[in-house]
Parts: sequence; structure tokens; C-alpha cells
Amino acid sequence: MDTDRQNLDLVGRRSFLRLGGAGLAGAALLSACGGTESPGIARVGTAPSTTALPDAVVNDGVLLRTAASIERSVIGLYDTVLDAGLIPSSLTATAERFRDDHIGHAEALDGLTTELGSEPWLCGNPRIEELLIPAILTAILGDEAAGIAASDDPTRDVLNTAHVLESLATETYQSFVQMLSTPDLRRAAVTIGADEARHSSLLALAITGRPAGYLQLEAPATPPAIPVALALPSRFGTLGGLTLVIGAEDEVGLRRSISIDTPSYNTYVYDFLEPSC
Amino acid sequence: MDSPDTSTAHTDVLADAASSSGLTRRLLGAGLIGLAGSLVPGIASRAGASTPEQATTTTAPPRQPDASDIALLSFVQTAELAATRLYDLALAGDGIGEVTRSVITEVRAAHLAYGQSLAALIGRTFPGQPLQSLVDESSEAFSGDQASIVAAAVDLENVLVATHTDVVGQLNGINGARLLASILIAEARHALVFADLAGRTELDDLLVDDATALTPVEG
Repeated sequence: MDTDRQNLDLVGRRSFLRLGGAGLAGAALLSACGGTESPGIARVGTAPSTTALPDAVVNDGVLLRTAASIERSVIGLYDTVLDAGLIPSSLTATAERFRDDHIGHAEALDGLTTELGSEPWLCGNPRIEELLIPAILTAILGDEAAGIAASDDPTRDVLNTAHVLESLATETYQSFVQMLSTPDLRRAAVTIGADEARHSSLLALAITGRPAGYLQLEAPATPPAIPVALALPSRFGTLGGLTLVIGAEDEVGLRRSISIDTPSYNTYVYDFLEPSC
Repeated sequence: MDSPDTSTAHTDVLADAASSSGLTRRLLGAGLIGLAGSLVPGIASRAGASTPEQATTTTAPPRQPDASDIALLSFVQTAELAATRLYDLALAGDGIGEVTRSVITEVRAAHLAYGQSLAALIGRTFPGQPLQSLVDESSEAFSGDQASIVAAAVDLENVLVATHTDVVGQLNGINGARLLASILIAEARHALVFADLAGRTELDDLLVDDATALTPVEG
């Protein structure tokens, strides 16, 4: 009988309800954490209406506009350094040829963009024009007001810049292959990408010389302060980003180092962007 | 103080709760019912979020190669293995200089890596054999002197770039296109380096690839 009483105490209605209720409350808590839409924070008074940001859709048209924008940024840079006489005379024809190739690429991309029903982008890439190009030109040409000395070797820096931008273009097209939706667009991308790779390799030979510029047979014990440009930098085409080191040495012997990556969400030329060139 | 006799009133309960496992099951059952009931609104709202009228219509290309992709990638693998075989012929001779030998050694290793990567993508049905027609066509040039080898290497790399570019334009799966893109970018660089080693200085000779793509033989 005592045992029966103990069981009764255990099975008592209160215990039953208490445990069941605890399960219900716990589950309700879990459910509340499950991502249902929040009504937001309550506020008092009136607030001005907000304008929703435009949808940032990344589609084929945006990718082609982005590629064209990078081509035009590179064209602009070649024009600038050619006009400033910063390309050695032995490479002037090469630089002009590269610039003309980029013009051809940009126009081909414009045609594809139009075929897709998007508006061709006839300016440079906004982010590159705003952040990258001014930083490069300041490091090379100097900025007295900002206390930045001009480069000790502008020609070296200009050629390294051209090499890195050609490599960036190569990586851009390679990275877009997996994002473009049709085989024909992917073919167009790799066709241009292969051209950019040849530009990059030829510049590497001009910068580093022969045979050191062909490939790296042994890794140096200490990495060089300025990355060595190589015609065969890797066994496969890579997407690992690039480092450009240019400008005069500062008081501790360091030059300006700029990391450059393939385009991403902050570099795409979305449909809602307005050209400013 | 008398206490009520509960022995009769709880007879049925005692019968059900005669074992502790039965009791545990009841308690767990009550908790689970509560859990299920409380989760229903959440599940229903999530189901409602993907109603047909709200769903976005996207047609993402497939990632893995389909049957036609496998045929194309298999053909590409045979071409890469043929390149490896041809560079083996070049390295077997003693008429090439140290720099050219270093470049050919690296380029040969690259083509072998391409063949292996393609095999991994293709799966168990990968051919694993070189494209014999390509080997036969170029063996003599790759067995010659340095000038002959380097000139043949320019042609070979340009042909491979043209072939892979053509195949990228036919592949349905993203993974195959992505791999071929990374291969042909490197092969374009190979072509330029061999053209430079061949002493070519005209920009068109260095930069333009007007080679004809290889095509798989039907059947």
C-alpha cells in the first residue's frame, strides 16, 4: 500500500500537468526562436517614411557590365600613363596594343549586354575609379599636400600596376565562368580571359626579364618586397587575389601595398547604378 | 486525523501506472503533444513562405556534368594526356637547353595535373589514354631539335586553348566549365612563353590564337 501511495504521488495530476506544461513552454520558446517575422521595435510618435533600397540582383547583364567597366578602367589607366610618358619607349607599342585589345573587349561585352536586354556600361568601374586608381596614381606620382613622396621608380610601378590589372582582368573572367548562366556567355568570358592572361604574361617577361620571368623554380628564402611578376605564375588559373606594391619607401622602408580581389558585391555594376563619366 | 481512503478511487490509475516505464511514457507523451502543438504555427508559417505565388523562379545551371558533358570532358582528357606524352618525347631528347627544359618540365607536369583533375571530375569512366591522332600528328616535331619542339609547343598550346574554349561553350555543368576555364587560362600563358622562347617578337604572334579547335570523332 505504501508503494501504491508513492506511485500515486508520482502520478498525481499536478505532477502530470506540471511536466506537460513545462514541455509546452519549452517548445513554445523553441518555436519563438524559429525565424518568424518580427513586428519590430515599438516606437512612440511619428517617423519619416523611408525609401527602400533597390534590389541588388546579380544576373548576366550585371556581370557583363561589371566586366566592361573593368575594361574601361584599365583603358583609362593605359591612356593616363601613356599620355604621361610613364611607359618606356620600348613598350609603348605593346601598351597601345593592350589598350586597343581592351577597347575591343569592352565593345564585345557591350554587344552581349545589349543582346541580354541590359544597358551597356560605358564608364569605368565606380569602385575601382573611386578607390583603386587614385591610390595607385598617388603612390606613383606622389601627393605633396598629403606628404606622400613620388615613386623612386615610376616606370617599374606603372608596369607592375599594368601587370596586376591584367591579372585582375584574367581572374575576373575566370571567376565569372561559374556565375554566367549560359554556355555561350561562358565561352565569351574565357575567350577574353585568355587574352588578358597573355597580356599579363608578356608584361611579366618585360618586368622580370628572361629567364627569371618564365617561372619560379625555387621559392626564395625570404619573400621579395615587391612581388616578382611571372609569366607562368601557377599551374592552374587562380582566383586568389593580387598584391600590388608600389611607391616610394616610407621612413621604415615599406612601400604602399594594395590588395586587389576579383569583383564582388561591392564592385558589381548593378542595373540601378547611374553612370557618372 | 482520518485520511480519505484513496485505494478505491485510484484503482484504475494504479493499474495503468503499475510500472514506472508506463508512467514515464505518459509524461513524455504529454510533453511531446505540447511540443507538437506549439510548433505547428511556426511550421505552417514557414510553409506559407514558400507558396507558389511567392517563390522566385530561377533556373540555375547544373553543377555536375551530365552525359554529354562527360563525353566532352573525356575527349578533353585524352587531349591533355596526349600533350603529356608529347612533352615526354621532347624531354627524352638531349637537344634542348636548360631553360627550355625547365619550362617544358613544368608545362608537362601541368598537363598531367589537368588530366588527373579531369579524371576526378569524370569519374570511373575517364578514358586515361592519350588522343592518339594528336600524338601521331605531332610526334615528329616534338622529337626534333629545340626550335622544332618550341614551335610545335606553341601550336599545341594554342590548339588546346581553342579546343577548351570551344568545349566551355558546350558544357551544361558549371563544374566542368570552371575547371576548363582554369586550365585554358594557364595554357594561354604556356603558349605565350613558348612563343617567346621561339624568339617571336611580333605582338600578333605572341597574343593571337587563331588555331583550330580539336573536335571529338563522332561514334
